[in-house]
Amino acid sequence: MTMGPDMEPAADLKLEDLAAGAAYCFEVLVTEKHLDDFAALTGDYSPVHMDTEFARSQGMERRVAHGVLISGFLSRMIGMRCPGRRALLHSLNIRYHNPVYPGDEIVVSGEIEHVSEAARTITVQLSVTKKSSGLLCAKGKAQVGIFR
Amino acid sequence: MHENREAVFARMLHVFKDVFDDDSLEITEETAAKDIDAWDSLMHVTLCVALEQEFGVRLNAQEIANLNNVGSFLNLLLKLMRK
Repeated sequence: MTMGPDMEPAADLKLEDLAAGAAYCFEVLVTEKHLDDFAALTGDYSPVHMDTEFARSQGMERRVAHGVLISGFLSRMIGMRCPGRRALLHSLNIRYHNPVYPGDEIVVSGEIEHVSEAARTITVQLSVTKKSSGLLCAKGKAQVGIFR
Repeated sequence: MHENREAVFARMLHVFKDVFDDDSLEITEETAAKDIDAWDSLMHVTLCVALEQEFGVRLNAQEIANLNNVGSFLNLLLKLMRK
């Protein structure tokens, strides 16, 4: 069985289990380690992500989480929750609205917008907000194929 | 009152431009996948999903398999919208 780092198994929602309007969410505490690990994995050591003083000089509160790191949590939404193990991501369109900083608790949400039985595909509206304020950090839409 | 063929085609063109992210895209009823570089199997699925959402219809797998050009999309949408 495919397990996540917190030992939560990937959901196993079948096409017939999925309906427009169904909503899912989870929370993440974004840490300095997330930024460091993401930089090491991708090679993106841009100072806005790695250097607190530089980030502050550009008007940020502190180091800014990489946008694609935040998108990675949307990947987790698709691959682990909605629909889980039967997912194959076709496309992900995302727009970033506000920076996420280490120490922020974020809420990652997904709501099924459309289910195409013929194409075995769903579209999911996605968002990332700050738990403390509700501030919108990222918003997007995914098209996801569903394995049999 | 049902939309006429021209009106449905105009809405289809809007969907095609959006899916292919190309505001200058021009299509006719004869336009097929071979005429648009980006029209591969995945984009075909994306087109079907986008058209279902735009027109509020449901396609089935057999219908999707038989869609081989813009005209066949148009004919199917007109049929489904008149049900």
